[in-house]
Amino acid sequence: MAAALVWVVATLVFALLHLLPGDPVLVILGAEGGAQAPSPAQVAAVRHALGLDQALSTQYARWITRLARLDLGVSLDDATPVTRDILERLPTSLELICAAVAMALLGGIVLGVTAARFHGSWTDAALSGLLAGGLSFPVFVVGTLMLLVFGVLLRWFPVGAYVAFTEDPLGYLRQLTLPAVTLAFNLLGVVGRIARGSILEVLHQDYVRTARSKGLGEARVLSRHVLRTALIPIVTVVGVQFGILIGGTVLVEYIFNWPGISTLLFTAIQRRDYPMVQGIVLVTSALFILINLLVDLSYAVLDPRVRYEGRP
Amino acid sequence: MRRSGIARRVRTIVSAACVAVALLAALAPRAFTRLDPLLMHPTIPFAAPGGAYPLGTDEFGRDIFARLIHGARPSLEVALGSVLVAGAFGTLIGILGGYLAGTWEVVTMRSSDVILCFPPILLAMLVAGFLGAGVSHLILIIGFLYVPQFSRLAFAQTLAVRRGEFVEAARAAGGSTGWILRYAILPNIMGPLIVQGSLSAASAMLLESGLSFLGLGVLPPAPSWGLMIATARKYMFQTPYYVLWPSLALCLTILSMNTLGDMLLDYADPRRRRM
Repeated sequence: MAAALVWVVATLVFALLHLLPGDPVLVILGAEGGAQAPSPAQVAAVRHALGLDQALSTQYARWITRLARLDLGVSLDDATPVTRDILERLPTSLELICAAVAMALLGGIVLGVTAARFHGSWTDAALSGLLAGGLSFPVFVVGTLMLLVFGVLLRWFPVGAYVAFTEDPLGYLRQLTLPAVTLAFNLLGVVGRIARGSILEVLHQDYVRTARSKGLGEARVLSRHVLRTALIPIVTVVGVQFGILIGGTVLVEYIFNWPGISTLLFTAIQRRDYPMVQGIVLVTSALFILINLLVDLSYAVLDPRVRYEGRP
Repeated sequence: MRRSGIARRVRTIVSAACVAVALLAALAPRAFTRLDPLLMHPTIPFAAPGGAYPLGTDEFGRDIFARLIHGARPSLEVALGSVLVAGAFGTLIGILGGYLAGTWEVVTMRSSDVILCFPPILLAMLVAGFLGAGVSHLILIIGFLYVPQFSRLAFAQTLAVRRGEFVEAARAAGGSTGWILRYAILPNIMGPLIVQGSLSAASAMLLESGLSFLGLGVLPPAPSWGLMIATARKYMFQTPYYVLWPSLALCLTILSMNTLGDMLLDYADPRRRRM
């Protein structure tokens, strides 16, 4: 099923880029928007070299067979293999996304538990307001203001070039903080909301009352009885968000100069680098599908009703 | 419980007021300011707030307040336009899929599921990048991306009501399929769709501002909040207030729209009121 979806996506990406206006041949000859038009002979030569003069069905067959060998072609910009560029940039994006998702998950659970415990009070209202802010404030506004306050005015965090973890671990973490917090705040709006709702719902269940009446401490009730069940919808939403973020972190990467896959796509679109765009869209969509699949599978692992089966 | 009830009411009123002001600014910007948002005064870039220019001027000496007010229109146009497009198509697809079932269900629902295989901002960026920016393109792109939100809801709602006695009655009375869909089913599933519409409008506005920020949305020199933030960012260190105003306008409007949407959601689904 997932493989079929990836095939559908590959076909769509192929179709989309052939439907959209613009001609890669003119891009290669450096004449997009055309100062001096290249001669028809030149155009024909490049078109032939790229195989763009063949029938659409032939081109499609070639795109799919190459894909099966994980060959995404070469960049029109500097002739490097698209696969290599993607493999280079993808981990950087994933680092950022994982950090943000971890923070949002932790924050969401803490916020959710707090809000649910003080349900209906001013604390709850204030926390809900914070969550609404995370959901409503554009990520680029939050990022810009964070950069202004913590990066420029207070100088707590560096503003500038990316350093790899292997080169300078501390510098890397300092570099990661602002973009990750920005992204996490945004995510918190979605995750915290679900966490609050789901924890509230579980708190009213009979078995939680039973656990309390057994004389269990509040901490134990929360961690062993409430969170376990409440975690299922939270994991679902985190998984979905994780998928959306791959390729969707463009605004944060752009603001903080983070060399991830989204900024690669952004520049590729601006430069009309067709093979690169094709490759990135395909890879991110495939990851998106894969993650959704993993989320589906995780239900079985997480659902206590499934886990308790088979125990004496 | 009572105190949070009052807080809720205050929040609703404030949000409604914010949305009303934004709508008014979009419909009749001249009611707020007589200054031209496009008129440049090269002699007075970055004029301080006060006097003839309530919030000062931007890098070309244009009045920031006028640009702020006039910037409401493109954002709201995209928000409402894309929701109308998505709502119309999504509802049609969902109702057809839910009522006719069988092959129709597979064709309509699976085709809208495919849209969900792409992260939304990625697809929007792709199409806007190649097709060109501009308000009408944004409406079409975001409208297309949001079709599944409505088609899935309409589908689920239709499944829930199609066995109802009023549908049976309409069929027994000899109503055609089109007539049944329009007069028996649609009115009964409208409520949740309208609620979804209000939430989708806020998120469409969020997406629009992001694309405009990247230069893939509303085209300069037209004023747009996302675009203003992108420009103001470059001058953030000289005039920090410049970036603050459009940020505030954008955040407040989206927050208010979301708050109102949530209120509608609670109102439509009494089960949620308890939370």
